[in-house]
Amino acid sequence: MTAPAGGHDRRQEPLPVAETCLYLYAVTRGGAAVDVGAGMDGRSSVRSVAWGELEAHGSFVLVDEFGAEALRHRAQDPQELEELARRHQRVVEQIHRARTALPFKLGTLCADERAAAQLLEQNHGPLLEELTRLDGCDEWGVKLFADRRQVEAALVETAPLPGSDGSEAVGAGRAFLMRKRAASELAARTGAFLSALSTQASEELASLAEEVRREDLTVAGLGAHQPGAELILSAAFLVPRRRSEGFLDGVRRFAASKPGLRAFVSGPWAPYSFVRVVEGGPP
Amino acid sequence: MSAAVEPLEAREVTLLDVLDRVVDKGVVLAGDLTISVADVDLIYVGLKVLVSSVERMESLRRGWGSAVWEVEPW
Repeated sequence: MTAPAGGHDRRQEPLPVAETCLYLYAVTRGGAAVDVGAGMDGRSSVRSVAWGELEAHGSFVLVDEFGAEALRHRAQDPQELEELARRHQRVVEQIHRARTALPFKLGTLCADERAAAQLLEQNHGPLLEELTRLDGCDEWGVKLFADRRQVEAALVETAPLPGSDGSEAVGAGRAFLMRKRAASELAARTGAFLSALSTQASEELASLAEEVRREDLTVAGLGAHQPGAELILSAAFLVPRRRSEGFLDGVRRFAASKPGLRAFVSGPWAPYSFVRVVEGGPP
Repeated sequence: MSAAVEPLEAREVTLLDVLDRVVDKGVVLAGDLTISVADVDLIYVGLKVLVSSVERMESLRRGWGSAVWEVEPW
């Protein structure tokens, strides 16, 4: 656009000041500075706000980019949601690596550093209690899959199915019925075996951990696919960092103890699944 | 790190594992100070079904940090 003639000293319209707020990642105990670098927006660096024994970690973001409205809109695009979730997770992970972190849920914002300090002040007791409970612990995710056919083969080997030895000479009709009966018995045995195995895995691994949270398998199964395999356990374990190796060895041992088992481990995570909702607020 | 816990096949942690945690869990503080918590939960539940196809495009990554690996080969 051409500038209007004359008025060389005309003042330019000031740019509108973009509204910012503090995007929160986690709460930790106070301590040495954690160098995390840039936060959610890739520009503003992560800073910490202290109150009492606690520190909140956050970075300034534009409300237009990270406010509730903006996030709701952006989260509808799977790639955007992935980007947001991974950035949030990366920052939380770096903080947690330095010292035990209570992660905030994706998209938690407060007005500014003063508000963050007030947040710590008002929830100081319960937050400190959670940090004490989870101190020095990581979360590990474990998914156990079983190859149904291998399990079936192993079961048949230990206890043959009725009529499977072929010693009886029978008519075609009776043979069909026997095959049907054998198949349904095998399905029942396999189901019972896998369900017992799932409980056993959860209990054995829980004995190497502080706490366990089992996930509903129908929900977990939605996103976890292994060709030819069935998800039999999806759980999060809270493990003291000094016991990580023992826990991972336990997973490995369990997977190797039965034919057709396959275990996937993720972690170490901040203790997302073990943080209790903290309800504070002004007394 | 001992050989026993060396990932056999580490790759970037799956999106599903990340979403399960960062969207679904974490500290929620009630009160006026937190101005907004994104209401992305419902979108996320619908997404879970789509996610497995996204997972296949993920690239390899090694090093510290959240990784997913198979602890025992077939």
